[in-house]
Amino acid sequence: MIEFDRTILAKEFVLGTFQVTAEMIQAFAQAVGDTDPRYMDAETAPHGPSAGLIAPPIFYDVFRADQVPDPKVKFGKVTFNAGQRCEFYAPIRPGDTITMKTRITDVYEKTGRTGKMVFIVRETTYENQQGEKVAMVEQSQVRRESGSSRE
Amino acid sequence: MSRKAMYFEDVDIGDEIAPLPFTPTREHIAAYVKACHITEKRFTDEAYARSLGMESIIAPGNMGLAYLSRMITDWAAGAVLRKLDVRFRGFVKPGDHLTCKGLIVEKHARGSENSIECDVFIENAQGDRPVAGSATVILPTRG
Repeated sequence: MIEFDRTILAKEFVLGTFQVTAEMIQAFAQAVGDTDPRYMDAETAPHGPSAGLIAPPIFYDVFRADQVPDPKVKFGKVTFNAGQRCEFYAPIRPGDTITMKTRITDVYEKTGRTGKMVFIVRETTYENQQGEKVAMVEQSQVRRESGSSRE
Repeated sequence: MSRKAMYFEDVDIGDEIAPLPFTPTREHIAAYVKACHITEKRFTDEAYARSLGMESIIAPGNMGLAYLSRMITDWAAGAVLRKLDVRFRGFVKPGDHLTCKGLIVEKHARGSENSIECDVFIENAQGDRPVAGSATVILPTRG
């Protein structure tokens, strides 16, 4: 039985609201060499299929909370990202105000080749100023005793 | 890079997505970390990364996802990524010679929104796949 703060399960936390600018979108796309004119070209994007500049799908990664809800798992020294399921419903655009909310949906343990691991599953949603859900990210984090490998 | 539209009618199950080779350097990782305001030190601080038992700093997992997303839209201008579901099975370190790859495994014609299901992964020079999973992509329709 894993020891953690069970009262946190399924509670929704608002992690913050963020203003989106074209510069933020361009810095993100540039960091991975993405030159898609829908993200980068303010001249042509309005006449293209995206009807204006949009952010790349993984842009949600720029939204960072100062504090995230902590299930206080009493196991492991390091936390790594084990997997991620992302769904994109609508584009994020410059000028948008994005509200980020998260819930811890599951905490469970598993024994792998290198011993015991504890998984923490979080579901984070991103909503724009119209109340439209633009993206959902279900992230599975693993806590382990050492960081020498991912498995 | 040539950027051309790829229509739903033009692709078949078994087709490969044009692979995207990349070698993340420390500078690339630092640019990503900065663009995303990441404060975790295992992406920037060698000594700290080693204190966790890792060989060197690593690239953030989402950085790999951003490259997978780029592979899809470099290959098919106008494509829209609807879903991405991946496991992280290994670390990406600076200097790793990586290639994003993808394969179309299903086609779904749904009237106005036609999509393909793809197996997608990042492969390193040893043939390991530190990131692997599936993607749902909406492609434009001719006519």
